[in-house]
Order: sequence, then structure tokens, then C-alpha cells
Amino acid sequence: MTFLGSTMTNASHQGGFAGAASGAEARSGLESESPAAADGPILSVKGLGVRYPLGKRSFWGERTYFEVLDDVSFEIARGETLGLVGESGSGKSTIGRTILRRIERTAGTITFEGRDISDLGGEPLRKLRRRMQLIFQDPYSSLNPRMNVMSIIAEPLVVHGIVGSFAEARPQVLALLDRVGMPASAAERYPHQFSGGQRQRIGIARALALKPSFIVADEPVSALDVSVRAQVVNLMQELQEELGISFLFIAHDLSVVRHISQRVAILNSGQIVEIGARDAIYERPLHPYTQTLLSAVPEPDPTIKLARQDRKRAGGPVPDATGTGCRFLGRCPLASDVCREKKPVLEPKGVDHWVACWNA
Amino acid sequence: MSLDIAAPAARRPFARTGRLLLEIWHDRSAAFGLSVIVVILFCAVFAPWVAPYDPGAQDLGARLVPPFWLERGSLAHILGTDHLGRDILSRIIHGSRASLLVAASVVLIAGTFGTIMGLWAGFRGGRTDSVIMRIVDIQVALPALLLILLVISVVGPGIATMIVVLSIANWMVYARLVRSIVLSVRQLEYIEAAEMIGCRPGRVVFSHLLPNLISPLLTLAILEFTNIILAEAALSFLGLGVQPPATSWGLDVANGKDYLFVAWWLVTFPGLCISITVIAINLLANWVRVTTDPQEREKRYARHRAGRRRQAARQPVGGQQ
Repeated sequence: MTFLGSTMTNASHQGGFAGAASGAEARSGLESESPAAADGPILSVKGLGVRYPLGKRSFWGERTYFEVLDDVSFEIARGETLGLVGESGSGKSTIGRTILRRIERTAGTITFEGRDISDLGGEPLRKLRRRMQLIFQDPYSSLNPRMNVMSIIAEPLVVHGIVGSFAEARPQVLALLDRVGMPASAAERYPHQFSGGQRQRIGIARALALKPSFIVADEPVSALDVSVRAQVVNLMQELQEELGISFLFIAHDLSVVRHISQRVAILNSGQIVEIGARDAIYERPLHPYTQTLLSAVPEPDPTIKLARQDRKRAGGPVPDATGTGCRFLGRCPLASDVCREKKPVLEPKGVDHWVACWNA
Repeated sequence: MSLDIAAPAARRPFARTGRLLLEIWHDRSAAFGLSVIVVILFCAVFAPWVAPYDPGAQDLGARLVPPFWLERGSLAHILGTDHLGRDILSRIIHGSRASLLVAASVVLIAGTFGTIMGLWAGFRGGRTDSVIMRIVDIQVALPALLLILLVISVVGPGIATMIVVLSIANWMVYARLVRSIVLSVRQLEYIEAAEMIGCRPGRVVFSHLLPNLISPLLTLAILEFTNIILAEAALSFLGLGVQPPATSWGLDVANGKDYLFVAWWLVTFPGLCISITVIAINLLANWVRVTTDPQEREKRYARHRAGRRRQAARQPVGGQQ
């Protein structure tokens, strides 16, 4: 991808698309356990592609594929939160699951802590779970109803041999419960005895048990009540500041992402259309899709609200039949001939601000 | 110091059994089921001492004597005698041995094997799944009785042969059931969570998937239990199972059917035994199902507490109106 080679303009920024070595000096103040990997970003995804076969192959015919992810590249610096925003079906969760190696990629590389994990399998992959974890969207189905909270949180410690038995894990489990704001009495109870917000805290405690350096949070608050949402988001922010964990925060709620992320990536139909520093994206959105998304955020001020309505365009996602050209074509107010023929690529449009649009 | 640690660990299993027994005691139907099962097992194990007569002893002078409460009946043969003058009660007590042994072993062996195959097929998916399920399909398509007849005519009849053969003919039901449940449960997020925290496949299958199978498996196993008792009866009736003078409940039902209109007690009592056994197992299994599910268990406990409170309220302590 072209933008990967671009030099970084802002040396103080920590999560840019630095070339292999050029941005290394910029990240001095960050701590890390392994000095070899301390310089680079914690996670670097290059040219990631995932495609699912569509239907059955005819006897001689070619199998047709649906491109869920197409040439996705980004980096996450240590201690940074990258917010990943996009509509349903845009491939947000697929990105998270592919990085965690739950979904097999069809193209690209995933580098984590300086190590290529793209083809890790078996025991090394299992060991990798100690470093990267997942927080689930649905706190109701992600906790085993037959296990008590104690066993749920202790299980990662036990299966990785950090403690000898569930009983030995008790002090650590109580510490984790305390850390996520749950009373020690919760340990002996079962998931169904808790509310959604409390369950999500338990899920977070489970993810923290292995002291990972990177967590994929897959819409962690979208299943929660608005009143509880803020608590959980604040908890995650605290944890990040305290423990220096990097997050890939997947959401479709733009205000939550704005609150928690340092950088934001906008995903449309499996492609990153705009990525950069949070304020750049929110204050000066350049891609027409980002503008449409932001205009969908409820706005209390009626004058701003009226001004926004011009930008709105009707219509849902249009599948890209030809495979050439821009995937946002069917809904784009700026569409021109070049958009039909050539796929746009991410190009720098400012300080840590990349946009994939021919006409932006 | 090591003693201090070992002592509570050694005491715990007994405490747990005690607590479980107390819990069964609080559930009346489960307690009833358990007591019936214990009585039946006791009779089966100590049959020679419990039974009043030799089950094979014929008394041609006292053929088709009805149970004692009917006219012509006598207390010498409480449940009457059959067409050869053999005591029905003694035959039932002795017959329970073969019936229970065959049914329990077959359910256990076929159930375990079928569950493992189903788990394997459902969890691995892909080619493993296709191969296992095609084997199941082929075996389901083959008439089980034909297969059984073939094997027994080669190996020779006997209880052990019957157990093996019936197991081979019955594991597919479990495999199919388990596979279909595993396929749906696999999609649950907490199974993904288990893999995500680094559980090995064995742990995912046995501590996260298997508990979801307890209640459907129990239901199926009980249904199969009756089926096996009847299958054993059919085989014994064909002369391929239990060999006379030994007997089984199924064999007695099969033998007595010719006398159904003359002497109903020949069929009724062994048949009743089959039903009572199955009902007792059902009641206990229902309790097991609830006990293994924390949510259901809690509801049961709450009901129990509420019942007690209501009882206490009905008997006010003096002075109250």
C-alpha cells in the first residue's frame, strides 16, 4: 500500500504509519517487557484480506468469493487505543477475529510485538493468548452459565499453568474482581445473578487475568444500557492508563469511540476509508462516508442539524459487483468517473490523517 | 504440615456426597426414584436370597395360579404362577438381573461411544464430520435385527454377546443427537471465549461443551433404556439372548403373551417392573438435570424455601391473630 511508505510528519505522535525504522525514536517514553520489540508498534497489520466462498462451486466453474476484508493495513502503538468504526457488515468484527487468529486470513501479514503471527498454530498460538485477549460484545452469552465467577476468571490462569489449581487462583481472582469494581462476594456466584454491566466487568476481568498487552474489544458496550455504558468505558480507560494495554476498540457508536480512542479508523465494506488521529477525523472528516456517519450522530443543536441534512444520502451498502472501483460508489455524493474505474488508496491529507477517496 | 492440607481434601468427598443425599431427600420425587432404584438393585444383587422359589422350579400341579387376592389364589405364590407352574415373583426377582445388566451396560457403552463420536464429528467438522456421519447413515440404513442375528449366529448367544451386539446397533442415535447439539452450542460466545483464553481442545469439549449435553443425553438414555429392555426381550424370545432356565423381564413378557386372555398376570407383572424401573430412573434423572444447571438448581432451592415459609406462616406462634 502506498501510504505505508509515507514518512511521518508529526514526530510526537505515537501511532502513525511510520516506515519500518523512521518513527522509532518518536516512541521513547513507552515501557515494554521485551526490549527487542519495544521500538515498533505493538500490532501491525499489512494488506489484510479475508474472503468467504459464496455458495457451492459448480462442477468446473470457479468458486466465487465475497471479499469481507480487502487490503486492510494499520498499526497500533503501545498503550494506544485505535477505534474501529463502521456499519453492520463492514467487517469490523472480522478484523478483530482475524488479528486474534480466529478467522483465517487470505492475504496479508499480522505482526504482533515484532513477531509475525500470521501463520502461528497449535501450541504457539495457544501461548499467544497470554499476550492478546478479547472482550466480547454480548455479556450474556460470553460467560458459561454453568461456571461460577471464580472459575470463569481463574480458568485462563489454570489452562496456562500460571496457577496449579482453581483454588490457588483465588487471591488473584479476588484482586481482579476488585480491579474491575466487583465485590469479592461475586466469586461464588453464577453469571445469571448479575446485570449486563456487571457481567461485562467479569468478562473484562477474565481478559485481564493473563495480563495481556493487547486487547480487542468487540463492541464491548453496545449490548449495555446507556447508563452502564459510561461506567464500562471509563473502566476500560482507567485500565489502559494503569496497565498500558493497547486496545483495538470496535464500535458503531461514534461518541464512545471519540471518548476512548487516540486514533480512529473508519471501515466501509471491508476497506479502511479514513484513518488518523481522533480529532482530525472528528473535526475535519474528509471521506464522504465518514461525513455521512458523523452526521448520523444525534445533534442537539438544530442549526447544525439542519446544515448536516444536506450531506445525508439515502441507500444502503451496495455490493461491489465488478471488484474494480470504489466500494462506496453507489452511495457517494462525490462519485465521478475515476471512482468507477480505480480503487482509491489511502493518501495523507494532513497530520496523521489518511483518506481513501479520489475526490475528497 | 502436609497432613493439614491433606486432611480437608480427604474429608471433602464424603461431605459432598452427604450434602447431595440431603438435597435428594428434600426433593420428594427424586427421593422416591432413588429408593425404588435401590430396592430393585438390592433384589437383583441378592436374588437367590430374596426370591421365595427357584425361578426355574416347575410345579405342574399349580399351573396358572392367579395372584393371592383373586379367587383360587394363595399366599404361597403371591403374584401367581405361569403356564409351567413357576413362581412369578421369583422369576421377576431373578429376571431383573439380566434385564438391568443388559439395559444398563448397553446404554452406558453405546451412550459413551456415540457421545464421543458425536463430539468428535461436531467439534472437528469438515471431513471428520462427513466420514463419521456417513458411517452412522450406513449403519442406520442396515436393519439392526439382521446384523444382530448374523453376529449372534456366528458367535453364539449369551449375555455378553447381547450387550456388545446391542451396543453396536444403538450408538448412532447418540452420535446424531450429540453432533447436532455440538454444532449449535459451538457457535455460543462462551465456547469461543474458552478457546480465546487458551483452553486446549480437550478442555473446551469436556468442560464447556459436554455440560450442555447432560439434559438431552439423559432424556435419550432413558428412552433407550426401555428400548433395550424390549430389544433384549425380542432376542431372548427368538432364543438368541437369555437362555432358559435363566430369565429376564422381557423374556417373561414375551413368553406370557400367549396367555394374555387366560392369565393376565404372566405379562402384567414383569411389564409393570419395566415401567416402574423406567419411571424411577426418570424421576432421578430429572433431579440430576436440575442439579447440574446452576440456574435451575437455584430456582428449586427458592421454591423449597418459599414452601417452608408458607408452612411456617400457616402455623402462627401463639398470640397472633
